[in-house]
Order: sequence, then C-alpha cells, then structure tokens
Amino acid sequence: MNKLLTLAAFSLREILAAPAYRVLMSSTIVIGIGAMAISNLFLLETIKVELDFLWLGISLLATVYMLVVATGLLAQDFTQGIAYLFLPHMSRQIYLLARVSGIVAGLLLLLALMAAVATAIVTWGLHHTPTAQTHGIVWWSPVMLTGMALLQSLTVLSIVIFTCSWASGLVEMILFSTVFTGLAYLLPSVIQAMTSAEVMTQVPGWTAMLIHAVDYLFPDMTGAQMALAVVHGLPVPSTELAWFVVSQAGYIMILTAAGFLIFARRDL
Amino acid sequence: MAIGLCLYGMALFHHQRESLQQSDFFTGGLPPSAQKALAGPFAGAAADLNLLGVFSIYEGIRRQPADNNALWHKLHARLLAAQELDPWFWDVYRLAVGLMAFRKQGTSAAVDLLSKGAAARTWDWEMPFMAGYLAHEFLHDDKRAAVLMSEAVKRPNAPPLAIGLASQFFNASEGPEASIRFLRYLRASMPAEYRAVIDARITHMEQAKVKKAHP
Repeated sequence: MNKLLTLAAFSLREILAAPAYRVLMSSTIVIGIGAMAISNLFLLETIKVELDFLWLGISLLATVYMLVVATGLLAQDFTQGIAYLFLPHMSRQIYLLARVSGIVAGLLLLLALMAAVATAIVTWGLHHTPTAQTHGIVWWSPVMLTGMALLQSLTVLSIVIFTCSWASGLVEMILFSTVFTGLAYLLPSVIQAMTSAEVMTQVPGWTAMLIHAVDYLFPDMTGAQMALAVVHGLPVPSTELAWFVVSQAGYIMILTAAGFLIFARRDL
Repeated sequence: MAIGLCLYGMALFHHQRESLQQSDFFTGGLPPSAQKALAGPFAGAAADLNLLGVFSIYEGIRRQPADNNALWHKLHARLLAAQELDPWFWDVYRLAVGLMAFRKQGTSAAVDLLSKGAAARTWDWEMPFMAGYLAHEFLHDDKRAAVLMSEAVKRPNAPPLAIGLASQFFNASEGPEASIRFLRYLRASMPAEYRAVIDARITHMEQAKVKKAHP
C-alpha cells in the first residue's frame, strides 16, 4: 500500500511538473474568457451559450489531458524502460495502478480548477442577466457539466490504458487512443442519425438489422441530451442519466480490466 | 471533431470580412442531420455556431438588398439546423420572428419554426401565441391560429393579456359564441387564481352579446 501511494504521489509530482499540464492549467482561464466573449454575441440565452462553450472546453481539456499527458507518461514508461526501474520493487498491477492513480489525481486537480473558473463565470453572468433569460440555470450547473466530463474522461483514460497495454510506441499509442476516443464520441450520434425513421425506410431489412445491432453494442455514451438539459436549466432525465452512468462505468471496467491483463503479459 | 467545430466557427467570423462572392463556402453549412452526427455531445455549441452563421448571412443580406433570395434560403437553413440541434434554444425563435416572420416569403417558414419550437418548449406560452398571431395576421390561416392560440393560453404562466387577446381573436374570426365557448373550456382547465379574469371576460362578452341582440 505504501509503495502504491508513494509511486502515485511521485506520478502526480511528475505530471504537475510537465509543461503540457501547466499549459492545460492556464488554458482554463482562456476557456472561461472565450465562453464569455462568444456568449456576448447572442441575444437572450447568453448564459446557455456560455455553458455550451464551457462544456465544450471542459470536455476538450480533459480529453487532451488524457491523450497527451497521460498517454505521454505511460508511453515514456513502457518504451524507454522507466517501468523496468520500478518493477523489481512491486508487481505490475501495483505499478500500473499507482501510475493511473497519479493520472486521476492530476485530472481531478485540473477539473477542480476548471469547475471553479466556470462556476465563477456563470455566477457573475447570472448576477448580470435578467431572470427571464436564465430559466432554471443555477450557479452549480458548471459543476454538473464537470461531473459529466469527469466520467467521460475516465472512459478516455480506460481507452488509453487499454491501448498503451499493447501498442509499441508513443505515436502508435497516441494515434490509436485518439482514434478510439473519436469513435466513442462520434459513433453514437452517427448511429442515432442512421436509426432515424427516414433512413430506416430507405435501407434493406438486413442492413436495418445490422444498424440496430451496432446501436445496441455501442450505446450513447456522449451525454448530448443531458448536457443540453443542464445548459437550459431543465431537469436531467433520470433514465438517460442512469444509462449514461451505467454505460460509462461498463466501458471503464471492461477496458481497464483488459488493459491490466494485457499489461501483465507484455514485454517491457 | 471539436477542432473541426472550432475551425468552422473561426471560418464564420472570418467570413464577415470577406466578399459576398466567397459566401457559399462559409454560409452553405452541412445538412442538419449531418451536423447533429458530427457535433456528438456538443450539439448546443453547434447550434450556437449556426446562429453566428445567421448573423453573418444577415449581414450579407443587408449589404446586398436586391436579388438576395439565395441568402434568405441559407438563413432559413441555418435556423432549421440550429433548431434541429437544440430545439430549446430561445434565440433561434427570436431571430426567426425578428428576421423572417414579417417578410412576405418568410412568414410561413417562421410559423413552422415557432410551431415546432412550441412543441419542444412546453413551458413557454409565448412561442405558440406568436405563431398563432402570425398565422392569423399574415397567413390568414385562422384554423391553425386557433389551435396555436388555444395551446398558448393553456401553458403555465400565460398572462391574462394573452387570454384576452386570444378571446378577441376568436370573437373576431368565429363570432362571440365561439369566443365564449373557448373561454369556458379554458376556465375548466385553468388554476383557480386565473378564473376571476376569465369570468370577467365571459360576463363582459355575454353583456355585449345581449346589447347587440336588444339594442
């Protein structure tokens, strides 16, 4: 346990010292100012627009952190023999768990800072906007969006762990992690468009069955409707919320377990 | 995808400084369903970018007052795309009314947009009321106007003013009997605090009817 905590703390210090992480930390302010600037171009629902761009910013920030900082850290460990320095003192599982814990701690710090910036901006905006134009939006709406982004980025982390466990170099790790993440973001909405009534009436029966099968295999893990409900200050549909959490948790558990199993057998 | 969205937004801003000959690429836009598929979890931001496109196209229309039908079509397409991406977004409907509704060729499209918006924004009485008003005043489609106005006054927080205007509309278009029937129907489905206003209106209309019959 001590070894795990020591290596996790060491990993966090390593991340905090990384220039890319510092750039991401500073970009929280840029995202906040950008959201405020864009929302000023709109007429009525300016806080909704602010939240839209904060949601985009938070998701991008967390995804870039995973694809650049986390993948970089794991790739450097696996390809430059750094993991080999730790492994005589602990099992592979403990080593990977400690590294992942450090990465998650870095993510939590980054998202906490982003949530604080976003909450301050939205609170200020709510104070200066007539109530009729804010309809149900509350100062903690950015915190809800940050929670959704946290769950999404943990899914991206599980994709990174899975990819890094078998890929052989930094480029391969970043490339495959990015492709899988892009698919995870895009596939649900593409399938949703394909399962619309207009498309289904135009395609042959067997194709429709195939599309429905893919629809069941890859449930919507983007939370698009929930994010829309939050930015409009509407109640989040409980069924969609439950499905979102369950599908994300399912992806995280399956990919992380597969990643740990493959890592235990890979050559270092 | 997200980078693509950012580039798309930058392109829209950049367009404002470009000539109208170059407008096709920036103002054309993708079909709504394709935009929805590409936007993924960021449908709200994609809807916002479509509205920035609307501002840009309207600027083009202002600079080219004649022969601008193609630009009006593009403006309508952008509003439709924004609605498809985020049907709850109030600015879409405000722009539909402000830019399209009072233009001869745009009223019907604006009423369609507002009617769809009314179905999505179930808490909002203004949307069906405005659609009903436009349908009556500019499209002369009183049947559609009656459906939309009845829907509007049944919404929560519909003010007495809306009830009075809807009743006047029925009075003018279908006669006092229809107006009184409408008010009685409305009274039955309204919370108690709204009934006094409706009762007063019914009494007023019945007195007017009696006066008209026995002058």
